[in-house]
Amino acid sequence: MTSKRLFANLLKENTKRRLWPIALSIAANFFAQIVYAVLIMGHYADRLLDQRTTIGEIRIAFFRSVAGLLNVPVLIIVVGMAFVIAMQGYFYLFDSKQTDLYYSLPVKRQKIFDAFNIIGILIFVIPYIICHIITVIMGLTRGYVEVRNLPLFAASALLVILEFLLCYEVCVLAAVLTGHVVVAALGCGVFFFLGPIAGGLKESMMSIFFSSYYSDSSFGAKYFYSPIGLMYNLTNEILAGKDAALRLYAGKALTTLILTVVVTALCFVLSRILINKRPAEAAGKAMAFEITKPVLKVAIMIQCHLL
Amino acid sequence: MIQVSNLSKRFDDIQAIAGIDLTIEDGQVFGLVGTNGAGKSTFLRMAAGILKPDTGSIAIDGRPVYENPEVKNELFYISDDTAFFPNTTPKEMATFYSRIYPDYRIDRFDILMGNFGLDKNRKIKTFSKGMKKQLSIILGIAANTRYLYCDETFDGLDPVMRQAVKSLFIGDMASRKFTPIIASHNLRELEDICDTVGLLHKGGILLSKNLDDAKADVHKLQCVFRDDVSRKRIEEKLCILTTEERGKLVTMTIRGQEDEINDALRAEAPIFMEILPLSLEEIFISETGVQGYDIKKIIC
Repeated sequence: MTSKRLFANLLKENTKRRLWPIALSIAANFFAQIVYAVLIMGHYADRLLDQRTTIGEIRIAFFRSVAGLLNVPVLIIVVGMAFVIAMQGYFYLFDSKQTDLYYSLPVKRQKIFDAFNIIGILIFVIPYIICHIITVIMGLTRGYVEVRNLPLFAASALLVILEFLLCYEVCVLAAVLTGHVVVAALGCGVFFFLGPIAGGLKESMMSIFFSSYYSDSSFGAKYFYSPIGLMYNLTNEILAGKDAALRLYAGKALTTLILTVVVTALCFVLSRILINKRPAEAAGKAMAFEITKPVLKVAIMIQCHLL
Repeated sequence: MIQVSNLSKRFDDIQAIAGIDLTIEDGQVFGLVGTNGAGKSTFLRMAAGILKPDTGSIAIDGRPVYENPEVKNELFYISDDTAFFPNTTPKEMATFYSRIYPDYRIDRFDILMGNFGLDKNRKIKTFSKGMKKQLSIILGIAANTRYLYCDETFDGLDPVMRQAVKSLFIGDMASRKFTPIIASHNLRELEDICDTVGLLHKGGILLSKNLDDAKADVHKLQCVFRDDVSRKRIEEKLCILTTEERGKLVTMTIRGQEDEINDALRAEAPIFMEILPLSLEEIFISETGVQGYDIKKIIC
């Protein structure tokens, strides 16, 4: 059997095992985009009728908040689905029987990892793109979207997909580093929230100990060391903060954009390397690698004691 | 041929496998016997490429097994607690394996499922433990691999099924290159199917013996000697491993060729003499007794 054919077979077989996340992703994207858009468009129609707003303002709002980066339900499902898809896809790492099943197969571990990774990405991306297209078409029919701005909507969708990839690869890394689904979930919590907690602690400690302390760093920069912080910074910079306009300020957000891509790629590459080094007997244990235990202990305990 | 060289594996403080050297020849049934915790599953999992050895190597025809798909194409591993995908049917599992193993035979799978009376479209979660064992064996045989590793697979089968599976193995060994390696804690279980048996104890191989050679090399006989002098001459002449007395009736386990033993005994003209069949357990008891192990604590 050729390598490509085997990989294709792995993809096919893995898809069969991922039916409920697929259904969840379709439902989540449907409600977060299409249903949300229908509700918001009804609200816009009322405001237009009452002449409380203009079509230009609605077009900007539609671009930013409905079919764009400020769609809150979409942001929630980006993080939520990244977690669910990663944990479900890599559940075999937490179960010794499943690990034995997969690792006894004549397939390299990296290949299994890659196949599951790709399917996990597609589970979110395909429903998201379909629902995004439907949402934009709905906007087009109402005049809330202009044809000349379609590339902006496409770019916006790509940025959301990038944010999903960032969250997803971080969750996958947490799964590879641990051996139990609960610990992996906590690991995701550490990756997502330890940075913000550390930043918040630093700010509060400085404010407590120095009466004249003032911080002029933006919200995003304080909580930078986290995927959520990166996402916030990226959104803020690319939409130029509060300046509402129907455009994406790629120049301003270039550094954060590159950083997001780099972090995503790093997490993927690190997971891919570690999956080979990860012992099969780690399934069921809290941490897959002994060396991570003291690092995590120190990082978490310092925050906890300061709290 | 499976070559094991100085194989070791440790889990935290537990030395599961300690420096095993072993060769498993092709075309024979190899039995791996040992009590719980002896290291059978660990050994098989390393042989299947699931666990990475700490030291040493395990190779098939000189090619290491670990992370080597080309070699792993030639083996199929059946664990003692086989995992199936959630909510699947036997047919779906067979389809999965057929997409991974290049020589998988779906037609053979269908035939065997029929022969064993298992419904291939029924959810596996509704199967009993024995039925799951049967299914895992069928999936393994249909993979058409050179080696089939069975970790305590026979232990959950009823006697009729055990015989059926043994017949399957023998049939496959006669028709193609096929070497089953069966791990069990039940020595009697392996007796009538295995050609070679390895005894695993506390992570080490105590001994590995071809059964025919072992049976040719050790004999059990009962006799009634004319007098003590005659008996003493026999004890000096032959290598007596164990002796049991019930009145005048002496049961001895003797190492040596049958002709040699017969000649020596006939020369003493005992009142009664009979050579008895040796069970695998008795062979192992006699072999390991020499090495100072109380085998009855090791095997069941």
